[in-house]
Amino acid sequence: MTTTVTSKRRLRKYSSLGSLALFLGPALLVIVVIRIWPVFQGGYIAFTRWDGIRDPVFIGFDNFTRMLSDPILLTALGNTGKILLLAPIWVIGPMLLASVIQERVPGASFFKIAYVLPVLVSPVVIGTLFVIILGPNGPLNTALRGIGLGSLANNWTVDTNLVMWIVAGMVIWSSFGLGVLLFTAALASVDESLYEAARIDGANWLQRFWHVSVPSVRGVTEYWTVMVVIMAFSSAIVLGYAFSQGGPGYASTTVDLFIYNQAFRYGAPGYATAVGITLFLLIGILLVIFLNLARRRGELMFDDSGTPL
Amino acid sequence: MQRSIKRVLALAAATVITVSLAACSQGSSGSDDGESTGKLVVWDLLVGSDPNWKAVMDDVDAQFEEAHPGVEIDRVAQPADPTVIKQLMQAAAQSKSGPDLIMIWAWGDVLTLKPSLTPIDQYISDEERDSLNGWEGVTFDDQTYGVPIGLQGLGITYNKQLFEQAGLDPDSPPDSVDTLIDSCDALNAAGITPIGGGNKEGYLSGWTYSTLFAGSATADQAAALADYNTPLNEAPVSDAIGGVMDLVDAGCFSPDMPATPWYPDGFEDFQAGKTAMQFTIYSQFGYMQDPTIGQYLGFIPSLENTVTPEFLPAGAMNVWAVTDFSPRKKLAAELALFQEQAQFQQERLDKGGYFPNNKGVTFDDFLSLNPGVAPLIDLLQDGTPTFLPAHNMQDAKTNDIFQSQIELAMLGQTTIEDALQQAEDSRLDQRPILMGTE
Repeated sequence: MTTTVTSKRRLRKYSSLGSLALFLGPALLVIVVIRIWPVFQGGYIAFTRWDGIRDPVFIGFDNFTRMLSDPILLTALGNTGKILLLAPIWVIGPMLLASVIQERVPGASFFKIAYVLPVLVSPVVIGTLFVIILGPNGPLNTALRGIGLGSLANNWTVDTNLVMWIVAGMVIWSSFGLGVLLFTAALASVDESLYEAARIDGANWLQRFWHVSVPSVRGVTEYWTVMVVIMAFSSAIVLGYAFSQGGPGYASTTVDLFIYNQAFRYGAPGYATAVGITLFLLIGILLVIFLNLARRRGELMFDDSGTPL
Repeated sequence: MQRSIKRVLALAAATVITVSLAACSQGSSGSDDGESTGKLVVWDLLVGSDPNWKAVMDDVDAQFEEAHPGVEIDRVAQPADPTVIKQLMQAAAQSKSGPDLIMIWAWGDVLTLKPSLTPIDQYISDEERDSLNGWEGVTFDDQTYGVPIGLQGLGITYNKQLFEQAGLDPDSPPDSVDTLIDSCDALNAAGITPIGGGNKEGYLSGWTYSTLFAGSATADQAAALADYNTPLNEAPVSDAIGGVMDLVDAGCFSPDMPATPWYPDGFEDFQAGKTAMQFTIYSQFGYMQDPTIGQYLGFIPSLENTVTPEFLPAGAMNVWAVTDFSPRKKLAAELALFQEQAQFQQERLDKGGYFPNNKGVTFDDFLSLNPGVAPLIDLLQDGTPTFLPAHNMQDAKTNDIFQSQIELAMLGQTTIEDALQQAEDSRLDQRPILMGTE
């Protein structure tokens, strides 16, 4: 009797596993083949010299040691670092603008749309547009000459001291609206009574922003900061390429453009993968540090019920 | 019973082996030539974007299929982007399947994709070899990896009307760097920008270098450059770049040149008659028919720098290459040669302005529409040799470094010595990988 019950249970268990496999199998297979397998394959390729055509040759850690003495990569990392340096503006700027819009300023909807518009435009178009705007006889120089400031007119697109900051500015400008949109949505869900209480306590706009708005949208701020860090490392390539092709020299070559060039133009996918993996680890470490700091700070900012302290 | 089962099994095994062997012998012709019938897949970079090219190639396909019963040509339009083609070829090479014949760019792409291409020397007759220019762009280690398509070269287009305004003889344009600088002085004195164009993308660095290289190197030195043996920081390369910098220092270019995008701003001023000269490539001869300035245009095919030019800076526009995984290698090579016959190149010149590398093409109709090109045609018909433009004989990475460093030198942000040293370091780094000699 006991044997019969055990067999039935086993049968039910197997039948359940079979159903699970039937339903999840195809999706898991797709994920394994398209997402998981390439990661392992990339891990192997990073340790090879490979041109994408001949068979890869295992070279140990050569690609990783080469990185340390590659001046172009170090320049590219420095350039990406310049975008990261502007990250506070990238995070706080949209939050401030969303707060201003939240105050129901006249034409708030117009501003909301105006900020979001660049997000909808292709980065190639934005890059090309800035080439025209900042060209030798473009609108900016023409305007400067028109108002008697001709001495400030410049060959902006090939000024090696400025070009990376211009690219960084374009990257931030092009995604700024997305941040405004996120923070606007987050602020709309903040309990209005918190603001009323602050007003009764005599808090001015800046105090309400700092003591009510900022803590209330902490989750979105964390999310947006993570996005900003990822975008700093990965979203400059199209804009930067359309604007300056990474030049003059390497003045605006970012690390994502460097990886693209190595992998697809210079026939060194192995080296590109090694750089990509290192970068992945670097971003991972940065985000873990940030999220830990944010969590600790969050604990100091809220009481047990989630109300800002 | 058991014995009969064994007999049946033995018979079945024998049948399977026989059928398999027969199938194997049918699938291969027994030589490297491959099959002589079936579908030929051709990757064509122009058929999707230019109806004139397509019209001629449709004709090519029909005639080839008629001459080769049992053959079908599948001409696939691919984007004219070297990076995309490289990626597609990497995928094809990994899977050992894909096109039989591909259109790529001369020298650099042939060198990069060589491991997945097959040499086709045995399929090229002496007559066919003699009929075409541009083999230096497809030859490595004495093996031919493709058939050159058309002729792409460099020179200077100039506006005779503006020359006259500056007191220069429009029928005796500059033929050396020195006389070009003299012309620049005269044009500047007349308030005319001598040479138009921009270098924001770095193209002008490469074009001016290649044009002056033909006046800085002997034919033997050019051949050494094609073998990638010439140091990029020594003569004749440094002589050519020295000539380029002489033009910059002499004020031949507008001060806006470094920041001016080549397309379209560079040409805009030339077309508007504001600049007197423009470095151009042969595929831009359409400007000769411009209603505003076309009638005033002339062409300078080469310039003396440190030596009298022994060759024109011109080579294969593109290349047809046979893949090493093609099951129809001989057939693919035959198609490659077939479509570069004089008849089809003539049609491409007349319909689409594609400059030919087949010596049997006549220029009568072309010259009546583009009389300014006459000095170049005269040289070609006199048998002046051509050699691939120097900036085309660099791998992609070295070319990027070379052009961007020269761009920095033009901006005064680095020295020519440092710029060329960086390019040379890259050449030394890349050569053994590309040549497979590491």
